[in-house]
Amino acid sequence: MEMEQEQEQAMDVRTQADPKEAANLLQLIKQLLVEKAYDGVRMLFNSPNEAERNTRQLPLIAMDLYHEVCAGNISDIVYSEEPELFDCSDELLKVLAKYAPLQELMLEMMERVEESSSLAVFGAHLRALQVLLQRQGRDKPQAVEWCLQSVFTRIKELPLPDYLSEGYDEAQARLIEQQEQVEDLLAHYITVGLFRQPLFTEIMEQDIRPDAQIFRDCTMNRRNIFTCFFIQLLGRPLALLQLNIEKEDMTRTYVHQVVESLTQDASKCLGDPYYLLNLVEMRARWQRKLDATKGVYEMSSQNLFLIEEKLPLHAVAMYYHSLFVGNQMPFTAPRIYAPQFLFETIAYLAEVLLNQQEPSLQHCGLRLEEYILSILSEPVPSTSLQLDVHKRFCEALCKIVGYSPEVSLRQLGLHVLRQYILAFEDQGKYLILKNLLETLQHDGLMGYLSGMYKDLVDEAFIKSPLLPEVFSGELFREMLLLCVCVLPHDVKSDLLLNADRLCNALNILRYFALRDKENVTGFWHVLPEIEKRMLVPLGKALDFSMAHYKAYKERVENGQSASDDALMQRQLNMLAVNISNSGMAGGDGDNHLPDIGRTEKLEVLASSITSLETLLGLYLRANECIELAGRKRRLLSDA
Amino acid sequence: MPEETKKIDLSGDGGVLKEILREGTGTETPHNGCTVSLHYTGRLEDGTEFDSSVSRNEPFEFPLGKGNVIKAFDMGVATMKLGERCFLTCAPNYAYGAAGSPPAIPPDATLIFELEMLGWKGEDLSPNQDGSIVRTILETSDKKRSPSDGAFVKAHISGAIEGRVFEERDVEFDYGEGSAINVIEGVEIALEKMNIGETSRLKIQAKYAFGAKGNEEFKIPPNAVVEYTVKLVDCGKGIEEWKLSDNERLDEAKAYKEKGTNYFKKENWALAIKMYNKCKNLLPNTADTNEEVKKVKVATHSNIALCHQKCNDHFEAKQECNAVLALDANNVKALYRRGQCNLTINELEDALEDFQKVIQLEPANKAASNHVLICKQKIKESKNKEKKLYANMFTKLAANDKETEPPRETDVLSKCGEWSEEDAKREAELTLERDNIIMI
Repeated sequence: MEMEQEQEQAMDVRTQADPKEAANLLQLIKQLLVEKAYDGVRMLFNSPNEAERNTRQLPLIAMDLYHEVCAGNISDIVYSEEPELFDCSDELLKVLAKYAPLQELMLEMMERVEESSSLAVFGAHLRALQVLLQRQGRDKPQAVEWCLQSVFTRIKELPLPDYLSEGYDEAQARLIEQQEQVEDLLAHYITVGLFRQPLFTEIMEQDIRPDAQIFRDCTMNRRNIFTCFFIQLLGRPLALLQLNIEKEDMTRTYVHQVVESLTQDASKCLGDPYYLLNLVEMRARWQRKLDATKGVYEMSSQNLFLIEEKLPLHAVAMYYHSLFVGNQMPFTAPRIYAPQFLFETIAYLAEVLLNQQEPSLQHCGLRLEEYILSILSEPVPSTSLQLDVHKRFCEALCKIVGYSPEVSLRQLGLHVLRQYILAFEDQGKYLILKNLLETLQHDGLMGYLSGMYKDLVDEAFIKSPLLPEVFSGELFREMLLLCVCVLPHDVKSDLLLNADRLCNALNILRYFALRDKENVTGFWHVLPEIEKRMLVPLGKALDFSMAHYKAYKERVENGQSASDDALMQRQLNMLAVNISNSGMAGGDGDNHLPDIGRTEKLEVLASSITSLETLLGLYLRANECIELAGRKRRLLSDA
Repeated sequence: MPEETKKIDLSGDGGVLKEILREGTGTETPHNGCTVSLHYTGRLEDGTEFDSSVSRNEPFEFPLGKGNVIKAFDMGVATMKLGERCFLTCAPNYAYGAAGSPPAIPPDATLIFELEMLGWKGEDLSPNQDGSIVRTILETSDKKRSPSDGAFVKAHISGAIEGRVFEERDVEFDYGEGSAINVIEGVEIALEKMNIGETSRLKIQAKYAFGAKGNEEFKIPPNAVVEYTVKLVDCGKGIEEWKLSDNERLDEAKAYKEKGTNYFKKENWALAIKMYNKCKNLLPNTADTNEEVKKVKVATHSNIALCHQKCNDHFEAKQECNAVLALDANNVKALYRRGQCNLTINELEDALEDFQKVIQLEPANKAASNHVLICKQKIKESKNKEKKLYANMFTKLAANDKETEPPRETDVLSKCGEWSEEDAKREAELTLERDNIIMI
C-alpha cells in the first residue's frame, strides 16, 4: 500500500513537470556552470519568480543533474581548485535531494559518504543525506540504519595517530586536539552533529510513545536506531580521546562538547538514561544461544539494544562514563534505582572497558568504577560476590595495576582496587582479598593486599575488642597461613622474586606479635605452623641465597662467571619487570637481555645482595619481636 | 487514628506503608521477574517533588523484585493490581538510608511515592526476544549464583499442557547436556538465568519445547505451547577456562572428548558434536608444537566429521575433514571421509582425488578402491547426462518447452547409499577395530 501511495505521489509531481522544460533546465544549469555564473544557478532556485517553476521540473532531472553535475564536482580537486563551483554543486545537491527518487539517491549518498576523501566532500554528502532522511521519516527504519552506518563507517575509518591506541600522558592529552588527524576527526564529529540535529528534533517531536502503549518498544524503529547511533559514536574512535578528562579541569575542549551533545541526545531519546543498565547483565553475563535452525542469529534479536553490532558494549560503557564521570546525568533522570544495582551493573561495564586494549578506554573504565564506588552509601553485601563479574573485574583490574605500562593507570588502578575492596562488608572484603592472594602472581600487589588485610584487622581492633569472624579464629588462620605467610617453593623459593610479599608477611607477623598480646585473633595458635611452614625454611633460604650471591659475586670479580650467566639473565629479566610487555609476570627467562659487562653484573649482584640483606634484617627483627612477645605472654600466663 | 488504619504495613515494621487511592481491577498482582510499567511521582515529606515519570512523559519500566530499584519500590509495586493508584510511604532504611542521595534526597529522608500501575508482562528469556520463553518468578532467592556452561545442575521440573501435568521429576545434569536426559531446550535456556533456590514458571513455545513433532509419550500435540515450573536446587561453578593452564586445559578437553564419545555410542549425534566442540575450544593453541594436543585435535575434528556424516550434514563433515587435513595432510581417515562427503554432495572430481590419495597412502585399502570405481562410474554417468542434456536442449527449446525438464536420472544420493551402506558399515567397523577406537 505504502509503495503504491509513494508512486502515486511521485507521479503527481512528475505530471506537473514538463520533460522538455526539464531538459532545458538541465542544459541551462550546465551552461551556467561552464560560464562560471554560479549566482545565476542559485537564482534559478532562490528567486521568487523562478524558483517555483524550476523546482517543479526537478523530479524529472534530479538524478541526471546529480550524475552530470554534482557527482563530478563534489570532489577534492574541485574543492581546492574551484571552490565556488564546489559550493554551487553542494547547494544544488541539497536542493535536488528534495526531489530525487528517494531510494536511488539514498544508496548513492551512502556510498559516497563512506568513500568521502575529505571533510568538505563528507559534509556535502551528509547535507544531502540529511534531506533524504527527513523525507524518509519513520518509514523503513532499516534504510535509516544503513545510512547512519555509512556515516559511522566513514568516521571509524579516519586515520588516527598510533599513540591514541598505545597510550599517552597528561601533557600529550592537553595538546591532543592540536594534532592534525585528531582535529580532522573532531571536525567530522561536529559535522555529524549538524547533520543529526534537525533529525533529532523531528524524532523528539514525532516518534513519541502513544498513551495506549504500556511498554517500551525496543524493536527497530527510527528513535531506537538513532539512540544506538548516538551511543555508537561515543565509542571508538571518540573514546580514544578521553584520557585524562579530569573533573577539575575547566577547559571545555571540543572532545567535551562532542561527548556532551551526543550523551544528551542519547539520554533524551532513551527517556530513562538508566534503562540500558537493565540490559547490561543480559548482554555481558549471558551469551545469546545462536541457533540457525531456530532463526537465532547475531542480528535477529527483536530487542535492538541487545545486538552488539548495533550497540557495542564498550560504547554503552562510554555513555555511562559520560553520564556519571562527565556529570551529564539529566536532572529529570529517575532517582529510584538502588545503589547496589548500579554498582553491580557498572562493574560489568567497567570490566568491559578495562579489558580493552587502549589505555584511554581502560582509564575511563577506572574512572567509571571510581565514581560508582564513591556514591555507595552502604557496604555491599558479600552475596553480591556470587556474581561472576566480580572475579572478572578483579582480574582485569589487577592486570592493569600490575602490568600496565602507563604509570597513571597503575596508580589510579590501585586506588580503585582499594576502594572497591573496602566497599564490601567485612566478609566480602575477606573473600576478595583471599581469592586475589590465592590467584595473583604479582609480588608487589600481593604484598600490598596482605598489608591491606593487616590494616583491616587493625581497624577492627580499634573499633571493638570483639573481632568479626573474618578477622579471627579459623578464617584468620586460613588467611595468614595459606595466603599471607607463604613461601611458594619452600626453601627453594626465589626470594628476590617474592621479596615484596615476604617483606610484608614479616612485617605482618611482627605487627600481630606486638599488637595481639591477648591472642584475640588466634595469632599465637597459628604461629607454630607459620614457623614451620615459613619462618624456618625462609631462614635457610636466606642463608643459601646470601651465600650463593656472594660466591657468585666473587666469581665475577675473579672473571670465572660464565656458568652462572643463565641465572644472571633471569635475574636481570626479573629486575626489568618487563612491564612494557605487560601480560604476564616477567622473570620466566624467555626474553633475553643483551649480554652485559662485568661492571653491570657486579651492580646487579650488589643490588640483589642488598635486597637479601634487607629481607634478612626484617626476618631477624620479626623473629626477635615474636620471641620477646611470646616470652612476655608466657610470663603473664604463668603469673 | 482513622487515617492510620487505611495504611497497609507492607514491611511488617512500618517501614513501607501503602495507602490505596484507587482500587485496581482483578485480583492478580505482578510476580517477581515481571517487567512492570507504571507512573510514579516521588516527594519528600515536605512535599518537594524529587522525581517523576509523569514529568518525563513516559511510564517507568523495570524488572520487579530483582533489586534494581530501592527496596520499598520493589515491595510496594509487587502488591499493586492493574490500574491501582496508591501512596507509598518509605522509611529511610527502605530507601536511601542515612546517606540519602545527594543532592535531591537528603540524609535520612522519608520518601512518599504516588504510584499508578499500568501493566506488567513476564520476562522474556528467549534468545530472539520474541516471547518464546517467558518467565515469572514464583519464589525468589537471595543467592546470585546461576549455572554456567558445563556446571552441574540439580533441579526439580514439572511440565504441564493446558493444566495437565505430563512430567514431574528431579533432574541432574551438566549444563549444556540437558537434552541427554530429555530436558527441553527452553528449560535449559531459562535455567542459566535462574539463581539457586529460585522457583519459576516458564511458558515455552513449541520451538523450544517439543517442536513440530510433539511428543507421543506425553501426549503433546505438534506445535504445542507448554508450561514448566522449575526449581533450581543447586548448581556447581562450571569450568573456569581462564584459570586453566595448558595441561589442565588438555585434561579438561579430554574429559569432554570422553563425554562426546559416550554420547556418540548412544547415537546422540548433536550432543556428541557439542561435547567435541567444547573439547576443541578448550585445547590450547599449541597444536603445532605439542604432539599430544595435535593428536587430540585431529581425533576431535575427525569425530565431529563422523557425527556430521551420521546426521547427513555432509558439508559440515567436509569442513571438519578439511580441518583435520590442515593439521595432518596425510590422514587417511579424513581423506576417506571427505571423499565420502564429496561423493554424497556430488563433488565427484574432488571425491575421486580424495580416494585416489587414500590408495596412494594405503595401497591395500579396498574400500577406497571400490569408491574410486564408483566415482569414475558416476563421473562418466554425469558426463553422459550433461551431453544428453545439452544435446536435447536445442531440440527442446525449439519444441517450445513442451517437456519442461529432462527426465531425471535416479537420485545420485540414494544410489550411493544403496551401494555403499553395507560396504560402509563393514568399512567403519574395520576402521574402528584397526585403530582401537581412538577416533571416537
